[in-house]
Amino acid sequence: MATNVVLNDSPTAIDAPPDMPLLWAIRDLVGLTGTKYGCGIGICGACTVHIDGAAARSCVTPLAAVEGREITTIEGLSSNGDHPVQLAFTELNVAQCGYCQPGQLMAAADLLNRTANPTPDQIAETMRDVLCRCGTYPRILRAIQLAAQGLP
Amino acid sequence: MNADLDRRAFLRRITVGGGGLVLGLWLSACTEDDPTPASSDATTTTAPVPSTTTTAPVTTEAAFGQSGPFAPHLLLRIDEDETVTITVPKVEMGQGVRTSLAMIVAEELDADWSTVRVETAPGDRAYGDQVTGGSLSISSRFDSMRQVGGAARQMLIAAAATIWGIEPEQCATEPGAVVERDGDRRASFGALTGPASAIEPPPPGGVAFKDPADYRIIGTASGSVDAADIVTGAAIYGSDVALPGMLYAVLARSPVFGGRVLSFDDAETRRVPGVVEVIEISNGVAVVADNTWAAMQGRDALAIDWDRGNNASSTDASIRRGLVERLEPVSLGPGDLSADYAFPYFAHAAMEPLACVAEVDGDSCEMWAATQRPQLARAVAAAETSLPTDSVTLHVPLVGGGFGRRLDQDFVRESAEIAAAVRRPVKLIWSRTDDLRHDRYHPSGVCRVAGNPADPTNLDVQMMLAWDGPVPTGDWRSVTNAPDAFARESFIDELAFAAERDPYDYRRGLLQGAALASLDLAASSASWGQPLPAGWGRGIAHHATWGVSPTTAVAEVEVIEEVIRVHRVIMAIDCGIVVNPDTVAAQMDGAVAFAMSAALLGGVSIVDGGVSESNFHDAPILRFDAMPLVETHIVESTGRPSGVGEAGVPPVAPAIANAVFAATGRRLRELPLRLA
Repeated sequence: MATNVVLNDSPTAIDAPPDMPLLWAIRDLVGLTGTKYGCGIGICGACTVHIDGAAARSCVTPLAAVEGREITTIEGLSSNGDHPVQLAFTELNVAQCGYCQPGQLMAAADLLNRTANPTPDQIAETMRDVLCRCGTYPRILRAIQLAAQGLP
Repeated sequence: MNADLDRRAFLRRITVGGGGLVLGLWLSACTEDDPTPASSDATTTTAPVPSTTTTAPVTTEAAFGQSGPFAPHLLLRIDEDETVTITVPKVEMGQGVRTSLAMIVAEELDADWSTVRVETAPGDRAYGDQVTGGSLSISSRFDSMRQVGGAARQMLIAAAATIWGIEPEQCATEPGAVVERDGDRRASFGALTGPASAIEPPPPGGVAFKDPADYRIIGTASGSVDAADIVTGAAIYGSDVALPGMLYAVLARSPVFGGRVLSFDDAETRRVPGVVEVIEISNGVAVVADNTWAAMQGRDALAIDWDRGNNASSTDASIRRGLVERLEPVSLGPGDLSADYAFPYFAHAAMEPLACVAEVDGDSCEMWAATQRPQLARAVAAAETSLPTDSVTLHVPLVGGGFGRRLDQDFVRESAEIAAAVRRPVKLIWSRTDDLRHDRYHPSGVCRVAGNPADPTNLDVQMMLAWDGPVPTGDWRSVTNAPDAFARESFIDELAFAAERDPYDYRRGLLQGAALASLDLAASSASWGQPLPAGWGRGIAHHATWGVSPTTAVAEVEVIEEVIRVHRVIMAIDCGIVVNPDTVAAQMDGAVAFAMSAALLGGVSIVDGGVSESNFHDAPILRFDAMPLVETHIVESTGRPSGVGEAGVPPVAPAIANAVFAATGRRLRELPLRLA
């Protein structure tokens, strides 16, 4: 049974059981591996994508819940890697191992969509839901502030 | 492919020309540096630039007409389009080594950094020791990587000098080009690849290294060569590798350490759509499917009867009792103090759970393993598939966090065993629960320290760590340095209090040289002694991990209703010559986060012979909103580079514990630190 979605602006039919989490469909069936597996229960944020423009945890979102919806993954966040959060994360060299960063970027982009100039508390409130074992949090804070202010 | 053919052709030509011996020696010289401290001769050697061989071109036209890349070393290739490809023999796992080791080569080569691209070496003896651990990548390769870049630079200069009909001494380099010192002739590295290929390499030791004062790349924040791929999702980690026709496997392992499969029923598993195979391997029952989800569903449906072995009654308490029994009683003299410290098992919990892709095809095996020991991984795969090592190709993708976990090749062994049975490409994936319950844990332990406030240089330290026993253990970022520093530096604080001395000033009498410089820099940067708000406390701790990179942490904490909140941590480190200061700061951020997870959130619990925690809800790691402000200060040094990956971890927990004491008067001697 196929689930029809618009994935990174492309109409895509995913032929998989409706209870398969979107994460595994994106990674294993579509072949986009930028979206990461970290916990499988929606509490680490590594798998964050945008569904109809809002951040969602793809590891706990079954295909049945995304029929007809628009999904954006890290690969589709911008056409040239030039979304303000991508530029700011690069400018401040935020990543260490980098594995959690797609989730961090998708969460940060969603935050800036909702709140153009978030306060540090607002940033913390959103970003506390995306784990990083390498300790990139201080640079994530600065990068989101930089993205909000606009890069020079 | 073309580059490889060209390179082979070049090697053959050199052999004919008589330079093969030197080149061969140099190619095999891809080794760790001499671990003894660098002498200053490295920067003052003035060996003659090698003369050109008879195969060198004699006219400019002929010289520039030669084609092909210049590949003077296994780790370096320069193409005619100016691309400088540096192969890094160590593994990138977030410590920045793909950038920093390449920076060292690029510096001595005098490359234009914007033309540098980096590859990670496959697992192979030819690359020297590839073990990536112990914070040794920079210190062990600093000289050999400089040698690679510096020798190539000399060859490029010799090539240009020959073409121009001048002496090499009349040439210099600027980024990416050889220039005439007193003229306006200039040749880019890309234009010199052909003629440089005909130059005999200088012998090891025959390279004049740059004066550090002339560094353009080392010491700068050169970004990360992987940043663009990371922010666009293009970066490929071990778990991202995909091959045509690949299957996906998960493995059901014993819930008790040391248990084994007695029997299993896979009838329900085989009914799960997408499940292809169920196979028993030495470490459990593997479910192989055409996607990860099906494999996981299939595993959930397995009914396995386990032989629970001899460890089924083990608990944290039983293990700790065994450790405490091994502590010797201390007989205290007048004024002596003694204190016991304790800590649980800690998991690595890298964000990327273990994964490995393997294809075993008749007489060969190809693997992609995000491992910290590529050569051992290759050997393990060879043993598991009964193939000669040379028949195994071991690629190293990016590692989504190492912290020592991937020094153990258990996941590679499992992957090879499954792939050998399935005879199709297979990706083995560990779930988060697999990761937490089948780690190689930092051992739980107890430590008894005794000493006298009047003589803090003479401590009696007994450390009992559960390396052996039912729970598998391994290396965890800084290994024994972390418990050692927690116990010692907490106890030093206790002695200082007993002596009615300021803990910073008290420590000044214990340290000297670089260690004292680190202590002083941290204290001054933290405005030590200045008042803090009510309910706050400031603590200091110092440690030199593996005896090098002395690092001091000052923590400022606030205690609100018995909850510890860390506001700020000041780190000061002496790590010798700094290759990439941005990386040092990042590693200090990381050390604080890693150490705080252990110090405040704790480890894992052993219940009924296995780990009870299953995911980040019950085995939490530090979240964004608990991260303190981290300020990193680097002691200025011209000493040999020393490691930074682990150095920051050990002093953090005792600095926090000491700050809690300053804030509350309560001495916490067990991790995680809990007031309530």
